[in-house]
Amino acid sequence: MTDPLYDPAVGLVNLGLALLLIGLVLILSWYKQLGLSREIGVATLRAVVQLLLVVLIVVAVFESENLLLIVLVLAAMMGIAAVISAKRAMGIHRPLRITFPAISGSSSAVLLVLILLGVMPVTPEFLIPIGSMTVGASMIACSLALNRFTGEIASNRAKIETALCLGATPEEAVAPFTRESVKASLIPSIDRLKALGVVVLPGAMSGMIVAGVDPIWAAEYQLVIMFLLFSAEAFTSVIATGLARGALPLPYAGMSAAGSPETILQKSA
Amino acid sequence: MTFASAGTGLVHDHRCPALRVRNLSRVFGERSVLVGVSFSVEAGETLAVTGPSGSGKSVLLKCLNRLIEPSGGTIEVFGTDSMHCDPVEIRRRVCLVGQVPVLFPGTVEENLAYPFSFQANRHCPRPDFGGVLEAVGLGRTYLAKDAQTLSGGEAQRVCIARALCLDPEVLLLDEPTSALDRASAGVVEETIRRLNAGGRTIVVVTHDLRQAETLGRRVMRMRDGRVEDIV
Repeated sequence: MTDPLYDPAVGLVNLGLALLLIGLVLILSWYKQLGLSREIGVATLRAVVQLLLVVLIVVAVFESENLLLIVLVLAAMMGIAAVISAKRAMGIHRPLRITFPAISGSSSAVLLVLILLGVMPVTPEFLIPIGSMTVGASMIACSLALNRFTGEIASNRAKIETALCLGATPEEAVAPFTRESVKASLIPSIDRLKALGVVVLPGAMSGMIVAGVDPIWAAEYQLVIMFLLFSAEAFTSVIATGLARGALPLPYAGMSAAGSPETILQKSA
Repeated sequence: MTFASAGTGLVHDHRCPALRVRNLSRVFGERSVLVGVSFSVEAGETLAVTGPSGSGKSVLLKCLNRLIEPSGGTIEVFGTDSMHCDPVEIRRRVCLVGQVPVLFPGTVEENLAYPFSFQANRHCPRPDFGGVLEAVGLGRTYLAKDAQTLSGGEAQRVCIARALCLDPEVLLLDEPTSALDRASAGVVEETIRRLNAGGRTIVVVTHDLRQAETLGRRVMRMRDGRVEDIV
């Protein structure tokens, strides 16, 4: 598996030089008092350690060609993505019950559709990288959707209560803000599709062309990936906001029986 | 007075008080916000509820229309236990207007039509919006006005008018003049008196004792989540 052209010493030096850019961002964060230095530092360190560790795991999975192992790796990715995304759902009680089904459900569903249609081969070389891209995209959509949703609910409490008082069901009262959250979470994805090939030359396609694959085939495959990612993001966003609505305070969630479990949002109201 | 709802299964017994509250309680975590609250409101009466901040007045109103679920006790609306009814239906029958006027982008007429966009109201007959505006002291000319350009007093009256479009059996007003200047507050007070004179059952919450005494046939004073007295 070792590339004879790869020199580990040069690789580490290049990595160190690239890290200088992060150093510049840290200085900027300190100078502008953004309060992000610690988070950026931890995120960078995690990225380095995680990526190097995952390379070892991926190599082992590639070599084993065991389908169960592939599924386990993808499931672990979904679990970690759900935990990361849950931290963006400020104020929602037990957010993992929202982020995990949203991310895992939509990622699995779109991957399964492409496998069943025969578009994607069931091999670790395809499933692991494309699966991880799908989970990552779902995670970002989930975080954006939940972050926007909780913000919308908090700042539009009076409008929601007014709608409820005028006979709206909880679904009807919250619907405008659910729609806004889904739309906002998909802005980066829609812009990415719009810019594809004009502003952005995606990494997978560029890599395939560099590796000598027919550019048309590379472009076709890249489009498949983009459609896969976009659909996963859209499904995640819709599922996450739908589940998040159910976790809102009682009248918003539509639970009416006295003694129903209450949420953190309600207790802080 | 007719109720604008299509069949809901709710019984409207005119022999019973419009509202009868018994031993109502509400607990948030460790904190008791309402403790053993009992009172009744006769049909066509205006009850003013007053008390210092944090005495539980607003939570009481939200319990009455089930925007907040009570922890214990009963609330009867014309003899029907509201806890056994659909909360959406209760909120339409016992309609709450908040202290800060909330109007949506669009004209006053669009705001008055807003409740009829909801499934529960879709089959209800729409009233003459101009007539409803006149009932709160605003002319028909207001129908075409942009809701965002109204003064605080006008906006509050449009909010009351919007609630009246559903012809609720009880109108709950939470500090309806607290966000208004004195002149606007006076106009809203006059609107409340006019509605009551027309037979509307109203529960109005205010921290202003003078306002409570001028608006309510009876005044219920609250402190620390309990009813201090009703005079």
